[in-house]
Amino acid sequence: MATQMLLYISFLSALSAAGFAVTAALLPDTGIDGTIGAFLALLGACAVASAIGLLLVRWIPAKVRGVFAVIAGLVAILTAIAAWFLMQNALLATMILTLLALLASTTMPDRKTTQ
Amino acid sequence: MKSMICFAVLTAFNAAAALADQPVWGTFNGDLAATKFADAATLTPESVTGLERAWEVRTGDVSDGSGDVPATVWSATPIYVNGTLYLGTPFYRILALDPATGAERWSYDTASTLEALTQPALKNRGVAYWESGAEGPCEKRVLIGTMDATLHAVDADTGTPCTEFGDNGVLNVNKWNETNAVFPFSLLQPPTVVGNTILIGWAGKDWAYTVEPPGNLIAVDARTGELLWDTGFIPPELIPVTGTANIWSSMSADPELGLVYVPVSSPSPNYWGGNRADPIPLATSITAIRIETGEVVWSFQHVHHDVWDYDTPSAPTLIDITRDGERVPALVQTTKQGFIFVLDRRTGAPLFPVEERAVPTSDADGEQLSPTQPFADLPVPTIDHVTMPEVWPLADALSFGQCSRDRETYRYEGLYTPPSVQGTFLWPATAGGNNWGGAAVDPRSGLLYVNTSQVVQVIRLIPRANYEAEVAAATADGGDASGNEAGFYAQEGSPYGIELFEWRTSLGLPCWKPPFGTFSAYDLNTGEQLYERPFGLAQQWGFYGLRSWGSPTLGGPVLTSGGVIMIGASMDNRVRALDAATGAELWSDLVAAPAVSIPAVFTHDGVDYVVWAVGGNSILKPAVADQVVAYRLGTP
Repeated sequence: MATQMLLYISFLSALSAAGFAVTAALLPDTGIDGTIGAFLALLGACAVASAIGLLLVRWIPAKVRGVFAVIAGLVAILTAIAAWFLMQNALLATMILTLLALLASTTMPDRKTTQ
Repeated sequence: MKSMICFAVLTAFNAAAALADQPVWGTFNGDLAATKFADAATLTPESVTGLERAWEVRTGDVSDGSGDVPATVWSATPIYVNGTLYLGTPFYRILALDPATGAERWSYDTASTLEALTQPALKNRGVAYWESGAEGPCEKRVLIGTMDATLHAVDADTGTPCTEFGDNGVLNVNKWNETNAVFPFSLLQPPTVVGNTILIGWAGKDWAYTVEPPGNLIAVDARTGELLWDTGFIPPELIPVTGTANIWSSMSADPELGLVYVPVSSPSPNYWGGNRADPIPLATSITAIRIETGEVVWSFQHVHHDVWDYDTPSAPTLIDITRDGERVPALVQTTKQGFIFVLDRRTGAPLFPVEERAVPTSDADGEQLSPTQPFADLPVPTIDHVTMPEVWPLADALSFGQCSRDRETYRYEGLYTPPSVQGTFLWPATAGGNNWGGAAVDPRSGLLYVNTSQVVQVIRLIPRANYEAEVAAATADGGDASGNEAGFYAQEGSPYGIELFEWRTSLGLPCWKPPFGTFSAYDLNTGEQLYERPFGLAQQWGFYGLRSWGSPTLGGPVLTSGGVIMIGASMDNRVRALDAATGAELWSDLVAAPAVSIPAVFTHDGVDYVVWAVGGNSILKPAVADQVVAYRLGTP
């Protein structure tokens, strides 16, 4: 249950990050609007949100879920680095939250095995 | 008698260096002395963090060049005078705004053709102001020039054309463009007004031709627009073979001495001088001209036989300094080469040693370079011109050694290494070093503050026989056949066209080691450099560089009497307040594009304001805007 909750937090955080990235890329006068960097960050945030969203789908096999988790984690790290160089603090903060929640969810013991 | 009273009124109004305590910001550089010093005592290092946006206006006069209208470059300094804020726009309109709210009081449209006749983009650096001292319509006027060579005068209170000026308020300056008129006299920089005299320089089309209009300074009567005098800078016998040595930047003046100080540019063509082997003593110089008569009183040539386009880029700053225990009326000129020349403004004599040193020779056909050039070690130059920056290991690694290979390929033997067919590193780049933003000074202490670009370009001479084919090949690959401070240029009539580009990797990273821009302070009494810090943030594809890398910089600083530097001038779309004592950043705000302008700093109804025109400039990055943004401390 806690794992699922953390994944939901991670997913919502990634969605928020994607929202911030859309804002930064498309709204005027953000300092990075219309730039390659902004669209890369948007792509990264969307990729992370998608991967974590798939982790929430229960019927996906564990091995595949593991691959998605690794991809989501790596892309989240890269997106966070991009956000730092883009000076997008909200995007950076949400990406870090996404990453932490994702990491916590993967280290959280499964309830079935602990009961 | 009336004109004498008027002259006295305006002399006081325009206030020279030591008198820069007027609450107005009446010229491009704040005052006629070009001090960029504002008596804004409330703006201190302690208070400036409380700066807030007072208002923001979008003029609508902007283009990114994707449609029918050419791209815009907006480097205007707003002027504050007559209780109103006046701006020129790149569509050649005048806006009169309420300084406290930004509300428009009136606007005037010159109806100028929106064609980039001489520049890669539509460009404006602001407006000028004249007042007679009498009351009545058109006794106070705002002046704006256009790219198609007209100067408009309108009433400062209503925006109505002043019919006694020129032809119903419009002076066709191009009527004096009679020789080698391959382009119009573009009036992009506002004219300089001293007393009842309007002093007009003009901009041309860079790097296009060998024979161009000969540079001159035109003086007209402020009331009527009648020609008073016209002083040329090219010796008459050379006019058939060369041109320019014009004044495209701002000027300064000392009404007490009756002198205007003009920054004269290089002659044409800019990167080859075989057509002009005879001396052109006034080219690439600081020249003092008597306002009354147009007589050249003295001239200091800081590049002999210029083939680097090291135009004198900014108004000399006038300030009194102490040398050998004596107060001396000085003139300070920052340059593209990074030298800070300090001269006695009465005579042009250097106040710090200037030494003629041997410089590299040229292997270009017909070229006859000067064997020496003037060097000044004090004040300490704003860039290291003895050795160019090292290869940046990061860029070199990411380009698999391209930067190191380039370093071996292109020629560099120190400052004034001439352009060559093999390619020559242009260090500093054609935009400087220091450019039209110039420096700010503190008239009380003799300290000088200046922002500097540290950019390396490559200039390559292309033999005429190969030029068209090379341009065709480059454009076929999607390359840039012409642009702003980069690309291919014909230099028609000379044996060489040119290619000019920044020294970058194929991924766009600079090949030279940062910083890319700095901000520094000097004691003009001793020549000592007080500090030098990386300035601004570079940006590529949206990603910001590290603070230690700095940013190339265009635009100028303003010093407040409270000890704060207000400056835009960075790639990263930010305007900043720096601690003048240390150069440390105290405050910044994100704006719509690089603020490649000098802010106006003034006091209106007891409140200090800082106003920037934010318009962008493709030399820094391809971003344009039409934003006017005003700041003040808290809510009055």
